[in-house]
Amino acid sequence: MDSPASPPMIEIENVTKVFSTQDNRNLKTIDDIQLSIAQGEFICLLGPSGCGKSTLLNLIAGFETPSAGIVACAGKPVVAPGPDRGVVFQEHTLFEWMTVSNNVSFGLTCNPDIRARFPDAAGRTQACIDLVGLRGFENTFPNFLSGGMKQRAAIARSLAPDPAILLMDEPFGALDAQTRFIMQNELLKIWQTTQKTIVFVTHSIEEAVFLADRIVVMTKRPARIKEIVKLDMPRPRNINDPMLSDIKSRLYDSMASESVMI
Amino acid sequence: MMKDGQVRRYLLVLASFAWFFGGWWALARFSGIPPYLLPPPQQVFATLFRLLTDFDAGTRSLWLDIFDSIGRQLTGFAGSVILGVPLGIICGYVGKAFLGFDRMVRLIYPIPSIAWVPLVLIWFGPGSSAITFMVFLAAFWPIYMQAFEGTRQLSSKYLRAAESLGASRRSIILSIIMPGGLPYLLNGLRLGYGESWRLLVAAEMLLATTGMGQLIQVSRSMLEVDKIIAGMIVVGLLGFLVERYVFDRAERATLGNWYRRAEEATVG
Repeated sequence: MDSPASPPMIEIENVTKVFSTQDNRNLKTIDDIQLSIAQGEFICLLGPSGCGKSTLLNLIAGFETPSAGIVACAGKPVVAPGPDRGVVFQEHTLFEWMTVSNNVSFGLTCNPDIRARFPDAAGRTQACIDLVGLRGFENTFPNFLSGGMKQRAAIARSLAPDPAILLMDEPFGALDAQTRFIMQNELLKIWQTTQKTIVFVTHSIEEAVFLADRIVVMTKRPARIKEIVKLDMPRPRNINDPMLSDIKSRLYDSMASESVMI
Repeated sequence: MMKDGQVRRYLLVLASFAWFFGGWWALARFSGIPPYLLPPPQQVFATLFRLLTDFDAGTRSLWLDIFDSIGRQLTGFAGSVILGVPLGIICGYVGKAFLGFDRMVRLIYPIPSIAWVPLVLIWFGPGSSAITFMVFLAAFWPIYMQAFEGTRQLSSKYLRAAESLGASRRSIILSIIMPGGLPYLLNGLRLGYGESWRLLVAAEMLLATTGMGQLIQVSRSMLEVDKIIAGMIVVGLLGFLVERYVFDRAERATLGNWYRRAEEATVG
């Protein structure tokens, strides 16, 4: 995947993030992270809850700015959120007052540049809805959908403006095991069709092993990169594959030493 | 065909009327309170009917008072919507720079609207503009605060999603904040309307020469209790009708679509 010829899609250079808390203490959530992600790569950020992996995702998304260091996407430093980086959140953030179809088309009509880029917004909307398997639910309001379907719609919405990068913050964390498994397979299919670069935050080893090209294991707060595990196995993967089991047990050991007091 | 639930609802409404008017009638009939202090319901309704149908040139029609009151109410209310909704949204959305303004609003808010009456009387003198200003004042607070709150509640969740899609400011305000904050906004309008309608009647008693409040007040000085109660009924009815046929309808037409029977209709 990371052939030396192609420049990195996401470049994270010595990034540190310090938040000041309400009682004026400084809380370092991310400490000197260095990571380079290639075009088309599927990266999982794996770490204990509250370690700062979502913060790293928010930095790439542009919701937060680094206290030190630089985040760059496609060679340009990130200064604000933008349609080149689609985001799928853990809680569903579909616009409840819009139908599925209007949610998806919002990203195609919400500013003049984008409108110019997608003259056929209706066609593009339908294509994205079809891609996530929601055909027939175009005119349904989000509250009438199940959890899995909401996340399908959220993925369709984030894909609509054709971002190069898809950032996913534990998108399947709230789903039941079976739905999650279906969604993971769907996501892999979507990834293979669209060739997006995906950064996927999870605290589930199983999920990371099932999805990722590379798993970035993070330490407890302040988060550093503990190790990067490369998986060169074809998909769909069998979770009981002995090779995966080896990697899983290694990851368990790695995570166990990072367990935090809660 | 009416469904069972519907029949029961109508019976319930009927029963509540029966309790109210039956009790009133019995009290007037048997308590020994003289009719000039507590007229029986049939007399009040006769008076109400007479007032509504009296179009003699020599007397002032009840309709004129009704129109005066509604006119002031709508003008003042419109003013607080035009000012309160944008201000609330701007303060909630832009935040920092406007937090000082929000603090100020919250300092003035605890002053009961009715306490403004003397000041307003000095500023405007008795009459329609004073009443309209009072209505504006009473409706402004809930409308501003709900618009503010609705915008605030949206900020973290939906705004990030919209920003990551590259939404323009215009798009964020028109497609996200306005409809997304609508549950709060509608609630603010409803509260503001109810509050100002109540205040309108009180203010008319103190500051006006016409209007429903004044009608009630004048009837007091003439000891026409039947007219007082008839006026109260009209005021209550007008408030109820707006609540029922404007705000309930508006809510159903918007929020109803997003949430109606959400559990039953969940698919997949």
